[in-house]
Amino acid sequence: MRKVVFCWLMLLPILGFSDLDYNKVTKVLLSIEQNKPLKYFNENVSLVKKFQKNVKGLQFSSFAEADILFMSKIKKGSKLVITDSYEKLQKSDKSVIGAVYIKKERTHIFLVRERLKKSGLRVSSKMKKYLISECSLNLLCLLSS
Amino acid sequence: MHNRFIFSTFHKFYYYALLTYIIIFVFFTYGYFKLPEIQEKFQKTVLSLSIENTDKMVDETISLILQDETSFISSHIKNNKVKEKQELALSRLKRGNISSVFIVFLQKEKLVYLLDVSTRDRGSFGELFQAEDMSLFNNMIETKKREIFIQKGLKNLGFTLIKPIIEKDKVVAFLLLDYQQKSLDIMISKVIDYMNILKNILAFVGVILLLFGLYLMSMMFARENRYMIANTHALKRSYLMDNYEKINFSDYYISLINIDFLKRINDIYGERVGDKLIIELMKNISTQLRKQDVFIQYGGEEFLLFVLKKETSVHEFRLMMEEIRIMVDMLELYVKDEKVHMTVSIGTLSQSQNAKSLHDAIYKADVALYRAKHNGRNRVSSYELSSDKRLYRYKLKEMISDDKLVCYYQPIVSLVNRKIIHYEALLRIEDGGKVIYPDKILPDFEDSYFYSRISMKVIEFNIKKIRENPKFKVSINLSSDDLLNDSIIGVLIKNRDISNRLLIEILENKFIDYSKMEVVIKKLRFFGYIICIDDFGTGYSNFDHLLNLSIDYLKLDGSMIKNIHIDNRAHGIIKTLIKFCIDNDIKVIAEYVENQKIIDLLKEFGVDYGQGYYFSKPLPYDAFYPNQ
Repeated sequence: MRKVVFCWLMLLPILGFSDLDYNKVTKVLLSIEQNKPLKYFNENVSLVKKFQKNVKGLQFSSFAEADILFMSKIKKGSKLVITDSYEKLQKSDKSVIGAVYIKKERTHIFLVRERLKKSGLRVSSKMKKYLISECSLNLLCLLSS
Repeated sequence: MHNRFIFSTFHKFYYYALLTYIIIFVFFTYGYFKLPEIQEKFQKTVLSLSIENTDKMVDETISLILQDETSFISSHIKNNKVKEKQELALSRLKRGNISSVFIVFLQKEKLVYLLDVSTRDRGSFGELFQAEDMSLFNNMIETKKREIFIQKGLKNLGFTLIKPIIEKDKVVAFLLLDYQQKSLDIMISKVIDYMNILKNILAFVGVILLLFGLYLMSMMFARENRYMIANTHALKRSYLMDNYEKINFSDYYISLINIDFLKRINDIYGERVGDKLIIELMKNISTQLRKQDVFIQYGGEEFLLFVLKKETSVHEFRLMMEEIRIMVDMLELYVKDEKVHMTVSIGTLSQSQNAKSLHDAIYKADVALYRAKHNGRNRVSSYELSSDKRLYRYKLKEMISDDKLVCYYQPIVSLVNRKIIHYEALLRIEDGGKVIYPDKILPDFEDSYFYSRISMKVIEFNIKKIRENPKFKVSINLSSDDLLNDSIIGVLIKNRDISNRLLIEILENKFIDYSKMEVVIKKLRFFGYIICIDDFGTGYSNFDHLLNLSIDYLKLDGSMIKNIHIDNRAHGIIKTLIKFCIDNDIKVIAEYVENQKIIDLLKEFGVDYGQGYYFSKPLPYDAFYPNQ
């Protein structure tokens, strides 16, 4: 049983971002700007390769050097995180700046405008459609018109 | 840039064909690149027909959902029973080939899940749904019509049917049915097959069209090259010939431009340089012309210019011709750093509508050109009606070409025994009963290539007579230019077997390049020809040249002889000249011998031969050889 749990834990990072539209995701991530080029981290090497294979330019580095983590399991810390579900994004703290996931076969990319701004990150106007407000994550706020 | 083929109606075929081709090709290319869009529309139509039953069911479901009087969304949120009822109604739509059935609504410009009855991967109420094409939903708010969205690049999702949920004539939400990829494949596989066939056919036809276009363009290019003179904007004479009937000459002012003294330039610098200078001249003239004018090299040194009357007054046309003349006159042309001055004579016809034909129009322009030449060259002359009364170059050219050129003969007689030693051939043109004399023919052709053509005709005419009559001995007049003409020398060398009966009289009335002449005379003498200097005393006569040229005969000009018995000065000069000739073994022939007194004086001086009306006036060949 422990082995099964261990295997699932190992597979989680891969499953979390599997079947993504890597091209689309990479373009959106590349549009996130700071004063310096951003570095990403994901513990799964094959996933990183998939990213780099499609659109070159997205930099992956070690956990220590990374600015943004691609994590399905959110660890509290000083690093910014992009998670792998809408639910996690809703429930997370301000360090989770967005979510990239598959829903109904479609690649969903959401970046929280306020959280990006707080972290000193900007997104080009072309990627506006991927930006959501903090309010969108709160049902009451969202439905209040 | 000239409208090069302004007259060529045949060219219009290529023009229209190319234009049609371009239109077809543009439409075709547009169609080919629009094919994916067409294919998608076609696919949507097919899908629409395929899911007609489901579509009806969706409408029924929406009707069920909207049965409550309260707002559809708010009742869903507030009332659990309504929510359950809606879920139940929506669940009816679930099928094996449908992976998701859900409702989203627009809130703060984002699509939000309201209800999702999908078996798996459900969206929770309030969760954001990210549509691939948000504009599609925005459009549907306006159109209130359903849409079929074909998913691209998604492994398991084929297409989505999107139905607007309309409440009080307003789109409040959207019902989405995701169809699996296999459904799409089944439904539109045939469409894709047909479209692929169509695509291949279009590609094939496209290549054929492309090749046809290239063929058309190459044909046009070849045609253009056939008529164009390289490096100029001028057309070849063949263009005029090919389009002769099509030229509406009355719409144009017509000019004939002739380069003055081109032959002299060719003689000095060679024909290759002469040709280069012509090209240079044509280029420069072209710059003075407009797009609608037509510029044709009519002959080696002659150009025909058609200037469109529309928007050009007669005054402007004449001004234009004068500008061309001045431009050529001021043109700085160089041959190996040596400046060459060129001029042109221009004959113009402004009333081309009065001409009977293009031939007549060109003739009239030529008449005017003749006048420009006759009045001293480097000028523009317009055709006037009175000009017709004169005999002009054009007509002369025609008569010479029509073999109306003949020779009359005047005997050269020994002053001692009165025997005819040979005849001098004198050029005439017989036009019906009328005889035209050389003074009306030659001056206008002087320094033109036509002059050499006349000389060649004279040589050929006399060679024929000599070969027909073994007793016939004749001298022909050739200019120094003729003797520098390779074709003429070639004919003389070819007929060297009769050189003892064909004497050559070199006209001494113009500038002669003696160094070149010396070489030619030596060559002719080597082949047995007897050389005589004609009209000595009128031109650039020089005793030194007489010695250097090593001639056999010297013919004293008639103007000196005819007054010898009354003019003491002429008497003295001729006496000295004759003594010089006797001392240098040169035989002397005196022209214009008109009476016995002159004969006696000439005999006293030691002159051997005489020629003049006293013995005989020039007569046709038959007068001397009636039976030949």
